[in-house]
This record gives sequence, C-alpha cells and structure tokens, in this order.
Amino acid sequence: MVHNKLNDEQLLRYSSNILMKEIGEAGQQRLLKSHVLIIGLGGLGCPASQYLASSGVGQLTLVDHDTVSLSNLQRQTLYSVTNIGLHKAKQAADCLLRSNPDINVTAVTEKASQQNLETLVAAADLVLDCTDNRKTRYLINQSCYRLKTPLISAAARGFNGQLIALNPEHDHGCYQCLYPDSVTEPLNCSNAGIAAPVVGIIGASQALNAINYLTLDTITPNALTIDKLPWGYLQSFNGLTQHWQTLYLPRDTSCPVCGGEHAH
Amino acid sequence: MRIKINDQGLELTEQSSLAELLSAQNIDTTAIAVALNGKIMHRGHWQQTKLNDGDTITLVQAVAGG
Repeated sequence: MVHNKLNDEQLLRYSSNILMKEIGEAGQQRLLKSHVLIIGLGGLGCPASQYLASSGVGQLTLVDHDTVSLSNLQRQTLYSVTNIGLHKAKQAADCLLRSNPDINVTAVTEKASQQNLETLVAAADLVLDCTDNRKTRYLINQSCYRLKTPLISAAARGFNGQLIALNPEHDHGCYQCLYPDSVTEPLNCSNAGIAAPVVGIIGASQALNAINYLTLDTITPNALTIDKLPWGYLQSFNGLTQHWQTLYLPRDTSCPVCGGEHAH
Repeated sequence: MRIKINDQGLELTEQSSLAELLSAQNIDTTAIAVALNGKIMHRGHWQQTKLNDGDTITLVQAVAGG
C-alpha cells in the first residue's frame, strides 16, 4: 500500500503515536486516511471525538441535533458556558479543530434517521454509537449491518458503562441480538444521573478501540493481520467496584438484523 | 446444586432451566441480557437451557445513556 509521507509538522504532532511499534508511521498514515462517523456528541462523544481528533483521524463526521445546556457541562468536556444554546455538533467541531487543524471535521446538526444514516454510514470506515436513546441505537445497528461497516457501540448510566465492538463480517451477534426488546426505553443520563468519569472512561475506550481497528495490520503489513479488537464481547464497567466484566455475544439465528444472512 | 447469580451464591434444590430460575427469582427480564458462564443466552434458549452445578449467571441491565 502506498502512503503519503507525513510532513515535518505531522511527524512532530503525532510523534507519540509514531514512536509506538503498534502504530508507527504506517499506522499514523492509516489514521490520517480514515473516516470515523461519531453519532451523539454528549458524554461519550466528547472524549471519543477528542482522542480521535488529537490522534489524527483524518476525517471525523459528528452527528447531533441537540444544543448545549448547562446540565451537560458536568460531563461533556468539549463545551463551555459560552456554547449554551448552540448546536453540539458545530461547537464540538470548532473545539476539535482548534486543537488539531490538521484534520477535517464535519458537523451534521440533523437528527440521525434511517434515511440520513444510510449516506453517513456508507461514507465512513467505522461508526461510533455515542447516542442517548435505544431507538437510534437500533437504527445505527441496522445501517451498519446493511452496509457491513464496523460499529463500536457504547452506553452509560449511573456508575455503569457498557461497550461492544461489532463487526458485521464476523460471526458474533449484533446490538439487536443483545437487547431484542425495542419497546422499553431504559433510564438515560438525563433522568437517572451519570458519574462523569464513567462516561469518560467508556468514551475513551471507544476511541481506543477505533484507533486499534484503524491501525489494524501495521505490525505485520502484507502478512498476518493482527486483530486487536474484542469483537462481539460486551464489556461492562462498574464504576463503584472499578471492575470490568466481559461476556460473549453469539449471533441469534432468529435476529431480524443479522440472523438470516448468517444463520447456520 | 450451587450456582451463582451476579456473584451471589444460590442453592437450587431441584433441576431447573434458566427460564425457571429467572421466574423463581422474580427477575424482570425486560431489557436485560442474561449470560451463562460468560456467554449471552438468547431468549429463545432460556427454556431449554438446563442449569448445572457451579454455573455462573450474569444479568446485565440495558443502559442507553450517552
């Protein structure tokens, strides 16, 4: 694979990435050529987008129709009081570009829907689900499976955080298999509270998974691919005990989203 | 037969299925994932899954906040 050479400023800006054998210059070039779609710019999307922007993911698309409110500032660290009432996606994009003008950031202030997700997901190499509601989570899962785009889905509430990396090309289950009841809306951050560092830890984990995925085979280019992601494992974090639990999610062969095509 | 549910030990006097256990423990199964020995069990399999001594059951409540 032919890579564009990094310029002197990029070599310096990303030197901490490049120094690691797991990323190196080839991995950095991959990050700069990557496009990540981040849906939801709240407590998860802020740290996730911040680490991906600073690490030099070349194109970020940020989707959020919501505006900044005072109660968001407890955990949504990209915003300040002067942003209250303004669109999160635009404010986040401005903040990320101030830190790293070397990348492109696009803000989408429409609500994620089945229609716009098709176009947005199709343009991306990877999707991060950082939303605050089940309905959108199911739509994102459907689009990613239809378009075979990997998805890092995360959620948090109270002191609990959850994360799962889903690859439609693999044999594990999808978000619909994990929580098949689409009717009940569980409590979210606005009505049940959230410990700010918990959502920070989970959002940062999404970014870490994304970087690991995007720099996937740089250790042994043109040879064996080293897959560093725990695809299909639900990782649940308890912020009170600081204990991570890992559970494997098999494919539900009756799943309307992923079951039919891959059913054995 | 001794099993564990979310790290709590439980003595079962008779053979039961995963579905029977959840029902006997009055567990609200709406929006939860149920894992047996580290593997999530889909709803359609709860009835036919028989529990064995030493099994570990993990209940994970869906969260949607972000």
